Amino acid sequence: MRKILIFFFVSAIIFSAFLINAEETTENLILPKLFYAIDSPEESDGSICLIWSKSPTEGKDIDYVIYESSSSQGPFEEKYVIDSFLKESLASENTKYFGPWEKYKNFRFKEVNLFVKTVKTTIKDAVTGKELLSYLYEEPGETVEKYEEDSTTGEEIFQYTYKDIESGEIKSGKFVISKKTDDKIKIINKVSTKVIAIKIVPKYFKLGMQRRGGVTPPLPIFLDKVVTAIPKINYFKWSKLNNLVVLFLMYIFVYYYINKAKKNPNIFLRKIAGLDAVDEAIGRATEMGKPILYSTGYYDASEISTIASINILGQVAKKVANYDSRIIIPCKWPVAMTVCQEVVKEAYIDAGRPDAYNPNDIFFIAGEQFSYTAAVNGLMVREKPAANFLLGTFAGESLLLAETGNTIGAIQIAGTDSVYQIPFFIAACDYCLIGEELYAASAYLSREPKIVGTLKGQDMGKILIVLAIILGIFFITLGSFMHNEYFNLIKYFFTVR
Amino acid sequence: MQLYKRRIPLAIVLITGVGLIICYYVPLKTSDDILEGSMKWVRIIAAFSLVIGVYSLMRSHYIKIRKQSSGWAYSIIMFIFLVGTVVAGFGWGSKGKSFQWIFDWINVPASATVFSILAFYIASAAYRAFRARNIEAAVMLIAAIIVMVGRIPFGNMIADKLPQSLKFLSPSSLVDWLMNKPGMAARRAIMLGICLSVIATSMRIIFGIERTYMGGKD
Repeated sequence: MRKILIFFFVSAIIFSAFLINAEETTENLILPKLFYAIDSPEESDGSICLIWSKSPTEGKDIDYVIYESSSSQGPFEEKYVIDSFLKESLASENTKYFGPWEKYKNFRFKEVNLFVKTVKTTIKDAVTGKELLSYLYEEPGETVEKYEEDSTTGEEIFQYTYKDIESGEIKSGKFVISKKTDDKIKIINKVSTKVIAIKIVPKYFKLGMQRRGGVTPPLPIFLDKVVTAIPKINYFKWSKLNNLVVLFLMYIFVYYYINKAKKNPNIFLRKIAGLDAVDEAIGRATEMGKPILYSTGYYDASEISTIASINILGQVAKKVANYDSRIIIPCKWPVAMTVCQEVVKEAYIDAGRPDAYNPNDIFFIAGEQFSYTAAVNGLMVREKPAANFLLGTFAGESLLLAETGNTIGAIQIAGTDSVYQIPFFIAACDYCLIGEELYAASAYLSREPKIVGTLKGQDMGKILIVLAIILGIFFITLGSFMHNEYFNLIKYFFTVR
Repeated sequence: MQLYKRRIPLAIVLITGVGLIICYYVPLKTSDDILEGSMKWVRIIAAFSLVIGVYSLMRSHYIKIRKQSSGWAYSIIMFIFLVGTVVAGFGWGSKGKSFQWIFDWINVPASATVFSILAFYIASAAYRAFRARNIEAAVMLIAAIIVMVGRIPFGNMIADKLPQSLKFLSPSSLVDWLMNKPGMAARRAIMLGICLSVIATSMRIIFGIERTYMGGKD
């Protein structure tokens, strides 16, 4: 009896030892059931997506390993190691490719690129321009990367590896890019890299799992399946379909209301005090014999807010020409200056006063933010305009301009789409156009049926958005109680990807 | 003349506008190249347009010097610095010592000086604006006081004196609530309106409905 008990006791100890060791092996890892590859939807950059179902044995120290080979028979090399706890690798986190569907919460994915680029790198001496090194690299193992900074000398070092054509060896080299001298960066050599050619190389993939850590981590275990996919050219970004649909709806609304406005030009527009005061401001300037100052803002004519400001300038310049007053437009950008000159000139011609147009009143003053601000402030103090129009996008200079205008006693009409500058204009100016009122101003002032029609169409877009917000709140709340993914569709539709 | 002043520019705007919209939705390398190329064109045009800008600047100051208008001496100083900076830039490069010196010891302090005036202007604007003339002004005044107190160390001193159950009333918590809840709601509403307006304005410009920016009538 005693021998039997000793036997069972010793067996139990040996069995426990095996159990402890078993936790350190990969034998109890369960591989995913599904593993496949597809072309990355809506990308044409040679990438494919590897997708697999989640393993029930995922954990903090467990990794998925993806091995890659140029042939389905191998040899396979480790290419990617993905933490099984990484949220970003969940397919459901990438709604761009996988949509809002709940089933993708049980899948993980990895996007891989099958492009191989042939790149030419040239290193030139920064002072003499003499070419020091120039080579193509397109072989595996050839890289140009790893900028290192030597903290003692302040040197930035550029490292590259390439395949020697004669010996076939992978060699490496280093060049110093820049050095710190007296806390300033001195460029020693210039590096330029250009992509010469791109080709798709078919690759084959295997999926495995491994346990991390330990003195000698155990080898990963693999699924037998080898997957591959061929990247295709996609011609449309389906994730942006919602964007396109809303855009088309907006266009339909605008088109409808333009046609309606042509038939019935008397469309109601709510009163905008700042725009009603334009006549008053110009009249005041004319009576006082002082000029009007007009600023189109911080950005160039390539920005839509500047174009909106220039559209308003056209209307203002017509009134100025009719009143035989003077308008000064200091510009921060030369392109905006030339556009403003043309607009004001045409306004004077339309008013029958081409002789009154003075091109010297529309000029480039400074390109930097605070240089422009200081120059315009000086102009205000010297010329003492009776009316200031500050219409466009503004940054930190908004209050500086508005306060100086207030100091000289000018009537100020400001308008901006910069949400952070609106409070300053409201505090310092007599009238302020907030956000969309800046864009509506040209329609308001001209009362042209086509342009007013677009305002109505824009308002319909706003109604659509408000409806979407209300419906979205209702359906998402309902969806959270009923645990039904279809209720999240409305949120998915109005999410920008 | 109509062809060159109206029809050709409108055609360019239409083709460019529609083309770039299409490039946004089509994931081809050609689209990326077109988008990148158009950005490069904008930068190149902006750089060349500087020549026009500098000419305009020099012309306006030259007229001032010639007529000896008030402040014409400053125009001479402007010319001296313009020529000096150009010589320093072309002579020794934009990374050269002299150009860097001009930037570090003239441009930067001057910009900082102008920017620093903002502090005083904020005080004067606040003095005028924050008066409780009506309910809206009173609400703005109270919100401004809370935000100002919450952003300075005095706000933390008040927070330290509050009991734990009333910590939610500390200035910094109130500031966070004001900025992240009603403030954020207002900002989003304004931005919503702005975005829709930008779409409508872009449509007007691309399809030639609005042509004021080209000057003259339709």
